[in-house]
Amino acid sequence: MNHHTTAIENRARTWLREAVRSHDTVTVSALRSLLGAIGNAEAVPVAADAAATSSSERIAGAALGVGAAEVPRRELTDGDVADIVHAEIAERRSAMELYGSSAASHRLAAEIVVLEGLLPGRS
Amino acid sequence: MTTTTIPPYETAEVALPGGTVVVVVDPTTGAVVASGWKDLDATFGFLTEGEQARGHRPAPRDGGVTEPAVQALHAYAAGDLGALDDVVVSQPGGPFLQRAWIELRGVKAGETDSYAGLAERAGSAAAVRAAGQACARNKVAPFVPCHRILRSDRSLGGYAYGLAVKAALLAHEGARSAEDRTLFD
Repeated sequence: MNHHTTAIENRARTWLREAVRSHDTVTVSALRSLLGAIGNAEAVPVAADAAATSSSERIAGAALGVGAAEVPRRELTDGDVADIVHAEIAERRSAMELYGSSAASHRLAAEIVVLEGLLPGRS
Repeated sequence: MTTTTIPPYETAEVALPGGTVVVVVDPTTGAVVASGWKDLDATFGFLTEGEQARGHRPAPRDGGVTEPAVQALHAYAAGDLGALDDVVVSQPGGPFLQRAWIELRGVKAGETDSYAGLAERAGSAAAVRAAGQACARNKVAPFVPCHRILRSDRSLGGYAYGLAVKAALLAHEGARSAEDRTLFD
């Protein structure tokens, strides 16, 4: 669990805690979705996982037994995480086009504002 | 190839409670596109690089395109607190921000609202942080009066130009909460 976290991710976690307290469900859903996407990007693909296991097998047999599936998470840079934020924003923009002007669309617009706020150069 | 010359932005400075405000007006639309308690370079820096490429020049002595905004600011400073309400402004932002900025202008001088209240006015009561962002990203203060948004506990919250400016504006407007100095600690 002591993997490196980026500035954006730290900010997102702080905001998420505050949002849960203040019942800001727009921020909660935007940030949970983002943190989920970051988690996916950090996960090492299964193929790479298998390769890592077989190559380390001979060294100490550490890949066997409980915890064998635990491989180091991919370390993301601030730039990687910013790209994920941009992708989350783009996803919501296209969803808004489908919804037209509705409460759901307005909520997505508010989620976009929160996500944009995470990017460097924004307060 | 024909080149259309787009005229540069016009700028003016006006003394207000809290200090000197720089106003940047687009001569093609007459709208205030940037204003605040910063110097000219910093205020012009609110615009995108593409916009900044048009350059800027001081408004002519009669005020030129900045005249409506400048007159409104003078009137506001002199105590006509509603004078800023009808000044035309324009700033980029998606539908949530645009709606939040319109709703912000509905909070009149002497009144205050909370970030949660602004979120509700802007159509999503649960969008408190997004409402806060609408204040943080407002580039046309005090025409869009983000200084009238306080925390729910009535403390001042934040302000891009410093809490002293926010407090000075609220005091000038006679906002009830501004009279309670403990709020400013």
